[in-house]
Amino acid sequence: MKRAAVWLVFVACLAWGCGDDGDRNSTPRPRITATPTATSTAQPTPSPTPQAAHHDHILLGSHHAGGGELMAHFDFAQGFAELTDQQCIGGQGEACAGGTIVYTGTSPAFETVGEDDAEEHLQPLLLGTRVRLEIVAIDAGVQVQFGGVVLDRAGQSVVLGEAPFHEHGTWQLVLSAGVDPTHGSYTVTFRFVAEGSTYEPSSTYTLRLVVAEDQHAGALTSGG
Amino acid sequence: MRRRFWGWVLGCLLAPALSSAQEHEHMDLWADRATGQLVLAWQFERVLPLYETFCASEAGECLFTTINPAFLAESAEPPSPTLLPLAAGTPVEVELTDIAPGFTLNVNGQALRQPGEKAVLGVVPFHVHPSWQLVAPRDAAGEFFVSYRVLAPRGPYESSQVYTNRFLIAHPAATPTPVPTPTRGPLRCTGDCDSSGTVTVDEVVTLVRAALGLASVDSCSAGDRNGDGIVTVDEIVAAVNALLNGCADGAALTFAQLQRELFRPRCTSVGCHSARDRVAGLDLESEQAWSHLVDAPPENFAASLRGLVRVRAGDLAGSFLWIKLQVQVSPEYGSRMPLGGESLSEEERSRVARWILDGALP
Repeated sequence: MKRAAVWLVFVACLAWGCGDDGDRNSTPRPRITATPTATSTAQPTPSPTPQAAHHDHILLGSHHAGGGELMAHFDFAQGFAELTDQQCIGGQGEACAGGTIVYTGTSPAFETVGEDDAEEHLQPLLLGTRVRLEIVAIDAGVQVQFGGVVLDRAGQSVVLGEAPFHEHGTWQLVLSAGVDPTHGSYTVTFRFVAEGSTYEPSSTYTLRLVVAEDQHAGALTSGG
Repeated sequence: MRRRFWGWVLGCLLAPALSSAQEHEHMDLWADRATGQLVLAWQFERVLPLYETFCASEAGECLFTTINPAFLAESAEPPSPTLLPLAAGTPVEVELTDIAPGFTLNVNGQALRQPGEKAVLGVVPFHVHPSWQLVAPRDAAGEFFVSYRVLAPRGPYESSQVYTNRFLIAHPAATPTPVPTPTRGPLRCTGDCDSSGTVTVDEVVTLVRAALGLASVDSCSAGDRNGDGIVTVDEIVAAVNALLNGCADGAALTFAQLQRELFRPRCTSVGCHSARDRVAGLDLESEQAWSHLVDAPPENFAASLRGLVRVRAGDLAGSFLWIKLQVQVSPEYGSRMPLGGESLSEEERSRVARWILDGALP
């Protein structure tokens, strides 16, 4: 009787067709495009040279295998979060009169370093290490968003993931229409903390947010 | 042996419905081996959340955004032998064909708002996260869509068909994934058409006939477990399990039973929720496992934000474990569990539901 039942389901399987998806859960690892340069608490420079920073990564690892300080490798002195998109909210016309312009960008992302990209002081984190991004300082108008969680004040934090991970946030700058986004400094300073592990928190790192050249020009034009 | 066989059968039956849910959603770009047409592999029936980014005022308009799904064209094993990876160096573009009012698809710094507008996605291999953005009133409801096709104008590939991505605004108080909520109390035995307390081969045959449209669903309403008016493969599998193993006796399940029969075999392999690896801080193997679940906060920040706990006795919608065991999981909640393996069967999920609803006893 049981055998008959098994065959019935097997026939049903044939009737519906058996999937051939295979295992698609193993995400191909993204290419690593950041230049790993150990830099700590880089000061913003007044005149950044905009350059394509598309889909760069801030690489995360530890000072030595299995312990030590968390390390982030990214060229914080020259690199920046490029805000490639803008939206007018609550304003009128091309000038967005009376409104607010939100500039956004998704690069750089955060990625744990793999065995192939490990360096002397950038060792892969232990599997499952839970890493939290903690805001240390943030300029007015700057925001970082991860899946609906918006960070805009010092002391706020989110869990980026558990090693290994590759996490995209959205870097955001909120300015009144007509404000030149190249005036002033827009930076966020953060550090990384590993929860429930022997890793020590990282140094602090400061990332600049830079509005892409064409968005900037458009904003100035529309802003008069 | 029987368990392995059933694992295979379930895998076979459920594979088409398996989600490739990941922290980031990727639409994989391939070419059809026979026609050369570009193909995006993804579950386009899914609706993804848009998150509130900025609001002009309480009653004013807001910006809602998400970076999911991304476009991915990297050399990897195609999911089907009918597909081919794209040749390296192929430039690929996206062209809007229709778009909801107020919606913008931002790709590589280019804002697409009108049908006919195009942007370069990248040159293969690439991995591009566009920004899907909607400007709308804070209380906007309903679905928002973007339709487009993918082109490789300088490559040997045909343009893709038109694809549509759909989005919903994830209001902070909303639960993005509809959570099935079986009623409290003993669950009726799937396939027990005559309420005799057992399932017979004849009853399974009736279910198969109903599934194939050869008989009315009313001929065995106990086979339509979720009451959606159709008999699914899951429901037939549940009935066959009841045929082989008998119907549940209605006694309250304990965690010890579930741990022995379900969590340890399915969730504690190397690199998962074993006592040693404790991925996501969750150990489902040791004696402490119950305390890791019941009233314990999840590590997923979206779940934390919404006040979920891993298991809340008597409350499926408030139990993150239950959400993670669904076949499709909202991307903000991470991957469906068991990760990379077969989904739990409906029968297995029902046991978990019953345990939670019966008080999540140790």
